[in-house]
Amino acid sequence: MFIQSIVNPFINIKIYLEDYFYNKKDSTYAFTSILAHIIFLLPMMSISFNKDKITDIPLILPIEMFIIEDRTVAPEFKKEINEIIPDMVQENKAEQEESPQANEIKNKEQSETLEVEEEILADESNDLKTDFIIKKETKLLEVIEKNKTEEINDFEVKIKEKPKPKEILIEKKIETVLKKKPKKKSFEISKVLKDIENEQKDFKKNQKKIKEKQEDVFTEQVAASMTISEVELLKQQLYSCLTIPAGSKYLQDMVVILNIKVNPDRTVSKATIKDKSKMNDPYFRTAAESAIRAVNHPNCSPLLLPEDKYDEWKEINFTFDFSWMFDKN
Amino acid sequence: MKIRFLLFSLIFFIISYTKLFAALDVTISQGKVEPTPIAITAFFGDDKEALNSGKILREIISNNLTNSGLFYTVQEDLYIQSDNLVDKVPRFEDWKIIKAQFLLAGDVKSSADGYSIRIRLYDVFAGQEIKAVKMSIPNLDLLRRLGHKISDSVYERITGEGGYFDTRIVYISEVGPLDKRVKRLAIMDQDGDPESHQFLTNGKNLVLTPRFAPNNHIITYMEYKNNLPRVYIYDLQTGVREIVGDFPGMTFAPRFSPDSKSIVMSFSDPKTANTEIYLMNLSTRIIKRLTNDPGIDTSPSFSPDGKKIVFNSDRGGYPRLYTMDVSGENIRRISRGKGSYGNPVWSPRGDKIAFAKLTQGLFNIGIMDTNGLNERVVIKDFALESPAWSPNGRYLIFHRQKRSNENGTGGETSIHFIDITGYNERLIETPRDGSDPAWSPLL
Repeated sequence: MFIQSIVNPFINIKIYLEDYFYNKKDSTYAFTSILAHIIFLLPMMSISFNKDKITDIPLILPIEMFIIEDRTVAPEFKKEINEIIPDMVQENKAEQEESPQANEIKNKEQSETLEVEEEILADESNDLKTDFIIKKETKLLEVIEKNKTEEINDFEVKIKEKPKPKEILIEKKIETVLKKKPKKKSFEISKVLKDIENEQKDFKKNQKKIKEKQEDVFTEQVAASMTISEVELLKQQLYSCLTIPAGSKYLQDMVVILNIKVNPDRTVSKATIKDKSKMNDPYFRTAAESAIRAVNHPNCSPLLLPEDKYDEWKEINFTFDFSWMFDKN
Repeated sequence: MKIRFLLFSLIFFIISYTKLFAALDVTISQGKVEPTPIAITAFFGDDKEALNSGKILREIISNNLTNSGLFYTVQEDLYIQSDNLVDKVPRFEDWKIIKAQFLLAGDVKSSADGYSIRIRLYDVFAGQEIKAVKMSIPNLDLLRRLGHKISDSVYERITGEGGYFDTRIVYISEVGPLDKRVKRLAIMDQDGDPESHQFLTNGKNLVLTPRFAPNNHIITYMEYKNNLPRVYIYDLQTGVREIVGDFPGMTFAPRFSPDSKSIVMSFSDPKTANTEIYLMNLSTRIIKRLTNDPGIDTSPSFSPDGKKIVFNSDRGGYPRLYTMDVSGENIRRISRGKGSYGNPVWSPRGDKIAFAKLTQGLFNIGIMDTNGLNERVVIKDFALESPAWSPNGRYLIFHRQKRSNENGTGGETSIHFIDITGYNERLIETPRDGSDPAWSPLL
């Protein structure tokens, strides 16, 4: 009877109803069982709502990935993505227009945009001043030029044939951009300490690490009840507020867990270090204080949190993992 | 049965609902590496002299903190509150607006006994005082040192590391063409203040590789006398110089033990033409040979606990780094990379070893763990040599030489220091060219 009641509530209800009608004296039994069912159903319903949210996530994911990259990767990447998107738009326009005059105008427009692109790249090269990046820029320009020549030659058959090679070329561009990405990132953010000698050897290693990090981020956020983009936005905000005490002894082994209480207006009301006993260690104290300063930083107030989910973020446990900020060999 | 029912449903209910009310877990794994903004208010004073001293103090502290690369001083004209914040709690919101993370306020009071200085350091974002200091000096001659002391206490409180501002640097001052270089031993404050600069030798003899004793009173260095290089010690308090030991051949690369009682150095035996490492007790003058190998063993450096020595040897065919116990036993190779390693120096923090390395015609200065792992090149250039640690183990001081021309010009040397993170390289200005720098412990 007990097992049945768990396995099939419908049979259970039937039995209770039978009991109720045939033996009215046992009304208390029926009452408790109905109550139990309500208690069962409520949490199940709430879980099913949450599930709906989680199933929505994969749909959001591909769009959100771009936003994450925009923020985590060096500004170059952002610019290049912007450069690619206008090209695609113009190509679509070109497909719609068929007159040669319009094509001439289009070519003019393209040449103008190319000039603009060259200017932007030149600016970047001025900023970075490394041969390595300049080489890649020239590669990019080559790809853009190829694009241009193919458009002029295949003008008449453009409507049918054009989209495919274009897409491939664009993919190539993105590939080159992705190859560039790890170097900048490793140099600026994840790799806190300079290592001049090994900088150029570490592309593949960094790529792997970034993938692993992204996977970790994914699993962590699916487990939380807020969406990936919401948690990621909060993280990005905190990254900009945290000044790493780089060079501090043992920092590569330091993990600071900070519990914060958040007001409904998304400002931090209280921040407490979980492991207060360690505060006697000056190196831990330095790391912990930098974490507290990050959550109290004016740039992180108010925190970027969804207003309609106050119950989920009124208390946040921040784990400041300084070991991830170092590029361990 | 009823009870089991109720219990089961209650547990299920609790489990499913507690999850909804749990705290959100977020892992932060990135941040920025940039100087922390600090606001330093004008130092208040009773009279004109006190005010003027306060102005100098503020400037010294501001320069020190900025030079460390970990701080920058927020421009004074942006400050909203202009009260004496030693006696008054600051309006933290006013300082938050200008994004100062820390606030330093001070005042100077003159009395018959000299001058007393009060300092308060506030954490602006946390809205609380984190350090209060009161210091006094008998006369204004010690004003610069006072400025360094205050800088040290601010630096220590915020970074959790020891300070390094109230220190001196001993180095070789160089002048003249490359083939007729006059080299003199010189000493100055860590910030290169021209007034603190002082020559210790007259330049008659060539001097090299000066090193401070941990007790801060003695310097050991190598001097060529009658074309024979010998290790000397120089007492900074008495000005007395003496040769260390009566060796038949050349002795070089001296360095003190952490207790300042012994010197470890290289001695090249003219009979065998072999260089080995020797330890000499300065009080008993007992000499002990530590290494015994046909290869050249040189550049020894003690670990701060005095138990180990790192040195450079070409016993394996190329110059590489090895460690051994202070007894000379338990020799282990620690450098793993390609290139010729040299000049190893154990960090005063004990966690790293700095070294110079020659690869592909370029000099590198790098650091590695004491077991040789996690090697990292901090800076690379045409000619970089003789790395030495700051007393807090946070910075490396070294000298850089420019390329020389065919006519004998060029080849200028200058002294620089760099954060071990590889950022914030700074030049320490010297009246003439400078090389072979060594940092003193905290005064």
